[in-house]
Amino acid sequence: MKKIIKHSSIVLLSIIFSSSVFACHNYGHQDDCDFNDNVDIAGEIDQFLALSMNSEAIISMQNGVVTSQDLAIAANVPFTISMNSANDLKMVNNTHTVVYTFNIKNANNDIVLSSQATSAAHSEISEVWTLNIIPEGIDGSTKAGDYIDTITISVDAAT
Amino acid sequence: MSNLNILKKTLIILIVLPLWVSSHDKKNDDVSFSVNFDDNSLDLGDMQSSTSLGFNVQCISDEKGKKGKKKVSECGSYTLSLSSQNDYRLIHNVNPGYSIAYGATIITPGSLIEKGKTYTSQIEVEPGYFTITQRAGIYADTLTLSLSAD
Repeated sequence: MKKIIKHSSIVLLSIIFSSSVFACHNYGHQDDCDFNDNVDIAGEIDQFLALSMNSEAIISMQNGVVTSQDLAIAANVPFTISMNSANDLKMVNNTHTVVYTFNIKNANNDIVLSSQATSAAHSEISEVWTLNIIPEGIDGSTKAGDYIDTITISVDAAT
Repeated sequence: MSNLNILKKTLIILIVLPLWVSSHDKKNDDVSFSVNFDDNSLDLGDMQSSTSLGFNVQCISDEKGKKGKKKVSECGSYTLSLSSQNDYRLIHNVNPGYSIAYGATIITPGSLIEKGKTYTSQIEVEPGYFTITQRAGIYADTLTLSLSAD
């Protein structure tokens, strides 16, 4: 009889313990005590126009040779492209300057911009263009040293 | 102790304990949590800036206070979390290969729920940068806000 009573007590304690462990199932009538709500989020890109260089922001030029840099461009609207130079198309050091010109060519190697101005509107596009920087006037009077300039290329949706 | 006494005590345990367990289960049955967004859709517009959406956390209890017993005023602590169907990426509706990463942040309303009170807070969704690979069109995802009772 004593053995039976002992077994009964053990069974009862097991029931209490199990009830405590699974109590969370009863709270919100959902499993594992989780309660969720969803929200659908959405945004729309209407006019898309992007321009990026494919490598470092610093273009290194050696001994006055022509240097090229890829420009990735994509747009779903007509746009213009323009370029400005901080030193008016001159690379400068402390006391000297090196004049340069530039052009931007499209994927067909056609020049789309060749002066410090704004191009005509271009249509929808997604391709890689090329920026070419051409130092000029380097001769025996040019001094050795580091010459720098900063150029800014912009694209704008045509209105 | 005689076998009879042992049997009496066992019978008492058999009757009282199930009632005690039952009463505690009933209390749990009467308590429920909820977590709800103010709206089930969030318009990010042209995705040039972050956008916020409110939500509330609530614990509801139908438990009646019993004479001589202190009423339960707290439903317990909880943890809030966010998950995204597309792993925090807005997916292009026409070309699923295009996506825009974004961040979502919970401005937590605290971690302890008091019975009958509603706690309001917000999530903030901030789209990432556009790149050359993007395309015009609608980008979408589904965010899930989860409350887990500790």
